[in-house]
Amino acid sequence: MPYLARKITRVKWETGNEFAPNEIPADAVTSDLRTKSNTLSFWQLETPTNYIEISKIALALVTEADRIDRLDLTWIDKNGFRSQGISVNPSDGRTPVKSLQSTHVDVAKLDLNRLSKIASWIADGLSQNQYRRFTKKEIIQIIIEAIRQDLVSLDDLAPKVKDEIDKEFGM
Amino acid sequence: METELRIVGYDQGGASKVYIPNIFSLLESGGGGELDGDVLASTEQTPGASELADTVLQKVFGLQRYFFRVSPSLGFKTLRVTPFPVLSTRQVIVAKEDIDNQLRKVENQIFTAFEAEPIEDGYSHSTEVLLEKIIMDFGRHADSWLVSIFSSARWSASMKADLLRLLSRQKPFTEDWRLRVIQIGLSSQNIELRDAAVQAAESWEDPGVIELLKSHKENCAWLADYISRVLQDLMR
Repeated sequence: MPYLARKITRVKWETGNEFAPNEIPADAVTSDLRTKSNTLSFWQLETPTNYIEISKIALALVTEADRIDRLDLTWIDKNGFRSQGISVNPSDGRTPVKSLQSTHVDVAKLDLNRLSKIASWIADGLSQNQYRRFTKKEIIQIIIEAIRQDLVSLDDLAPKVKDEIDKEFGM
Repeated sequence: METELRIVGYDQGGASKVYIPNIFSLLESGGGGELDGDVLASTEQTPGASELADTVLQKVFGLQRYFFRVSPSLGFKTLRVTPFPVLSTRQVIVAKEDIDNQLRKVENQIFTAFEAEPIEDGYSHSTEVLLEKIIMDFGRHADSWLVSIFSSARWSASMKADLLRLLSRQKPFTEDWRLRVIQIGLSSQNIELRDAAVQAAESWEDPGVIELLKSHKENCAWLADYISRVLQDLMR
């Protein structure tokens, strides 16, 4: 799989007038690249331009969330990790969608230099439009569709997510 | 036993919260707590002091009746809980300052919470509960306090955006208020605040936001794309 996708907050990566175009605002790193045990969570992605495929990553993420909001996804070339000696370890994702759990990987043993590399790749990717924002309504539609296809059950969702789905579509 | 009456919030002609230390109420659940009830209040200039005191007394008499029903000895004890003060205008003015002080403290709490825990789409934030409580307890004071945060320079644009993102998770006040806040956000030079304003428009789904979003000229391509997709969702 040539890409690794991650949830971000798109606007935090905007340089605006405050930074030069090649600079990365610190807020982007501290809000979107918060490591745990020096590890970052990513999802494997073959064809980012394929809506169905990228929607599945969105589904994996939003079904483990505790509320429904819009979602920003970005993706970076997986080969870069290998060439920089950054460990990419398969690890089951925390999502109730069982069929998607194995698409998750941990990018591990991150130090400041490696984290900074990842930040640069994300910033470069965003400048080349490697990014997809899902609106709240789209997210609701993706969850509804997954429930219809038995990929996930309504009972597996967090109470607020379940309420939103009930409210929108009276399921 | 003397007791102190402190107003923690009031609204023009509406119901206000009154907190009376040392007067305890029994709850049907078996628990108990200090009396914290609604009383009628008039404007800041004319506090309606006797009205306030009367209403409080009515509540206490109601409680006494309840105590007598539950336990006559407890009822007799409550008769000793007197006298109740009548509020003066001066006390109400002091209470207004008290509200301002409390809202200032809330601002500090929010700052600290934002520093400790970034706001993330899809995940609840501890400040949501605080904001909900402030909006419920302080009514119109919270309304103008929040507008003053968005329209003044005392908060950074990024902090305002975070606050707006959290507010968009509930549906505060009136549609007019919400449209005003969205308009303030959209007219900002700061992209974070504009983005948060569009997210609020998307969440609140007020009919008036369609015109606001349509008339907004956005120069950032991805944000302009988001606006057009939110518009499609809202008009669907």
